[in-house]
Amino acid sequence: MKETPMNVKFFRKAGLFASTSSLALVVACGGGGGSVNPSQAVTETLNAALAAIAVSPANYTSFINFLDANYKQDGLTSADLSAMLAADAAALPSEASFPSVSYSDAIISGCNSSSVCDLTVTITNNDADTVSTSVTLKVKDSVTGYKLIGDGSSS
Amino acid sequence: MIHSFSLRSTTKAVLVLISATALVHTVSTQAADKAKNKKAGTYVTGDFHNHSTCSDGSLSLQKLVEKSTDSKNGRYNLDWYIQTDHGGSGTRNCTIIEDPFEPNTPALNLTTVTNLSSISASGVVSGAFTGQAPSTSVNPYPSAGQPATGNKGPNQTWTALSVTPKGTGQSAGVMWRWQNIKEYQYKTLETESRNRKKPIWVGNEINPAGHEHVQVTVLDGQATWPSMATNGNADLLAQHEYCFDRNDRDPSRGAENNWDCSVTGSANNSLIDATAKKITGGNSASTPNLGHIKSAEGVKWLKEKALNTSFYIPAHIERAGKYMIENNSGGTDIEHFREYNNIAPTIAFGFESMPGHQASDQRGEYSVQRNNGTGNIGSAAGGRTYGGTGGYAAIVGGVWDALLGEGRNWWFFASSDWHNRGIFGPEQLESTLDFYPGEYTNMSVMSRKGSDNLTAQTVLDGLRSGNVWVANGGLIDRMSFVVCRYNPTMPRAAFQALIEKASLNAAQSGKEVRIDGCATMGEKLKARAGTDLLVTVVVRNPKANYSPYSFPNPSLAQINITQALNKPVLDHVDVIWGQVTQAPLATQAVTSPCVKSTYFSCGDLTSAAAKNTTTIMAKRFNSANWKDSGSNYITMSYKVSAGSKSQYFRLRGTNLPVSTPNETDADGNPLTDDTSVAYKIPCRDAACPPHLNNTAGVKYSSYDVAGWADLWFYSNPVFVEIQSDLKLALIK
Repeated sequence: MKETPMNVKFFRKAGLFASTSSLALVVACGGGGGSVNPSQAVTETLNAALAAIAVSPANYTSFINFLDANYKQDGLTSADLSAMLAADAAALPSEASFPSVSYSDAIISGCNSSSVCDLTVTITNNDADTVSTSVTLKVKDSVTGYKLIGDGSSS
Repeated sequence: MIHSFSLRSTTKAVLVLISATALVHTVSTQAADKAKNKKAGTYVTGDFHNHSTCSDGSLSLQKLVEKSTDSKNGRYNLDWYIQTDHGGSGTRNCTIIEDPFEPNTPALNLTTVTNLSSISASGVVSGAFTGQAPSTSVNPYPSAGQPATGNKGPNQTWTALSVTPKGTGQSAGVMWRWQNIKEYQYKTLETESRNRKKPIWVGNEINPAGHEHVQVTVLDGQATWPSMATNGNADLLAQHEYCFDRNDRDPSRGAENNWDCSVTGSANNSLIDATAKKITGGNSASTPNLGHIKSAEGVKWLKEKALNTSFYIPAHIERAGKYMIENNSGGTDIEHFREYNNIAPTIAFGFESMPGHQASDQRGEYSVQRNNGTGNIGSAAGGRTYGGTGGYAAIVGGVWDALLGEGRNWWFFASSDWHNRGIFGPEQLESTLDFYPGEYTNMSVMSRKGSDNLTAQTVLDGLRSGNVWVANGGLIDRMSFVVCRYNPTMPRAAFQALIEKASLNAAQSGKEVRIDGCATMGEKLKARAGTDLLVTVVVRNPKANYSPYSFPNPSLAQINITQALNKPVLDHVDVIWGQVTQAPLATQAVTSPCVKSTYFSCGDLTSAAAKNTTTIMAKRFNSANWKDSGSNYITMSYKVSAGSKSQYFRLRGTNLPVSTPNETDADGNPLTDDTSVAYKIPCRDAACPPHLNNTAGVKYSSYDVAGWADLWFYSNPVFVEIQSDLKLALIK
């Protein structure tokens, strides 16, 4: 897929829906020109959702709302992930039950005609010894902003 | 002085012991610490079981410490070291160092000497050896324990040096070990520790009444480096030896020390001899099990005196075979491990199931119909070692798995058990008995020292934590092993990549993964039923070791693999999984299929009480499914469902493929090591050394060559506690 720079549409859409939904992307403003960086907005939204889970596993709604309705990866759908997180919250409400991560250095690129793009991002765990790795996720640009759509894989 | 007991009184004591220990010492359940609360740690290598001329070793304290911990060529640069000699008594002054050996550069094929007394007067051999009959050994050059100039070397007696041993009940010139530890060994080792800037301290291989051997450390009083305190001592260790070693028959209460061996509140204090102030008897026909009772009192004593500063680790636990209730020549059965662990889980937390003597023709000195020196002939539990490890741990689903199946913190340890090099001298690289500490067996222990100097206490804490792994023959020299809960918010591949990278980073730096939601060896991961787990292992296979032999491995030559003995290649890694099926058992009589007697009698290798039938080899990694991470690092991981039961994962690995004749079975399990009685694996290379067993002109893999050919590593377990299932009473 050919890499394409972010277009104005992305910036506008990200800004538009940030004010209408708590689940929509938070827009970050660049210095000087006042431009909006949707990549940064995506990571901030994701990080906020993950941070909520880290505080309490029961706070997973924000994350689930960041998934596209057709999300599927590793054979897991949005409903599956919701059920898993709910089960974790019920079983181990006060545990750091799985490793947490934060996202940074996001780049959205390679959008196709269905508005499905690649989100290349650095994932970091810094519980004690910082470790990072780069990963590319699929996101879909929709009327409610970017959402994770998964790669469609079955397992 | 022998205190006699009637069977009736002993039986009463047994009942008291049972009732006392049936109340299992439960410890609050602890998950893996929060990562941010874990002090940074490093795996450090060391050894806790070796002998000097203080008992029956061939080298002085200083020489053995130098060989083990010095970094120059021919030394093994261990990070920490515990000198343990046998309890009891001895005649030699082991604190006087030998003259330098000539030549002092380790080498193969040193000059053969057949008559020790003919060695020139260059200082190598004189004095005690003069007049000795010509030796028939192959290469006793230079002789171990050679007298130093002026006949004051470590083979000199205390008497010759005008030292008067204290205590009573012993022949003239014989020093009880307690005095040696207290007045001689401690100070010598304190000096060595400070000179070498490493934790080097004195322990004791106690002869526990009723059983064979146990490694004991008591740190109290010892001012081991980095301490520079001027009042250091090993008084408490010396007292323990006096009180609980069956071969310490001194009734003097340690002369001026006036020791009393009672344990506060113990009902068994009634068994104490009024003069010696200790239990003086052992297992016998008239006092069955009295020896074991005394040993259990020794554990209680440590709990009272040194709760977090001592350990009690039974040694070469299979060697003496089954426990014998009517004599002291038997071994240790599973119920004894349970009992010690129940009494003092911070002190009795594991066993040495990978023994020393790995170059022996009867590997580990394990054999069938072994005369253990007391006239009682019995077979090692399991007969022999299995790839250098005793049957208690080597047999999947056996004794160790049974203990882990109770969720116990019961860990696997190893040692070199150095005594001598058999028919060879101390600077010869061949061996027909022992490898030096660090030469062959390496035990890596997590020391959470942060940026501070390594201390004896952090080593002891690391041993207690179970964050320990062992490798023979340089098969691997780095390891990271974690089990993590999958993060549902991340794609699986991304999560796997992150954990694998953290594991590689940890292995490369000699450290561990510190991530919440992951647990490593000795730790417990809490998880809900049905969640997915990621098991991740990174090892380094350095493809180099201290073997002096560069000819092809004769075991692998059987299957047409050409691989130099000094460049072993890891063939595969097995993940062994077992279920935690019950809470830790109290020490209580087991009734079926009990066949031995009326006491705890169902715990030997063959009994149902010593098995975990859930244990399986769950996953095998090899070159087909592991990743080469460069620089000899290998990364492997796999996803597994946690299921609904609390469980554990542990690792083993080897250089030998599945179904290597005479070495591994079709499932990859190690076969028994029996090179002394069955010449099976020919060593056909022209460089195969002359000391190997041979028949009809064919040499056979044996002694040190067999050891270098058959390499294994073992990890300790990672536990997973399922929230809805059994809780695991692990301690930190």
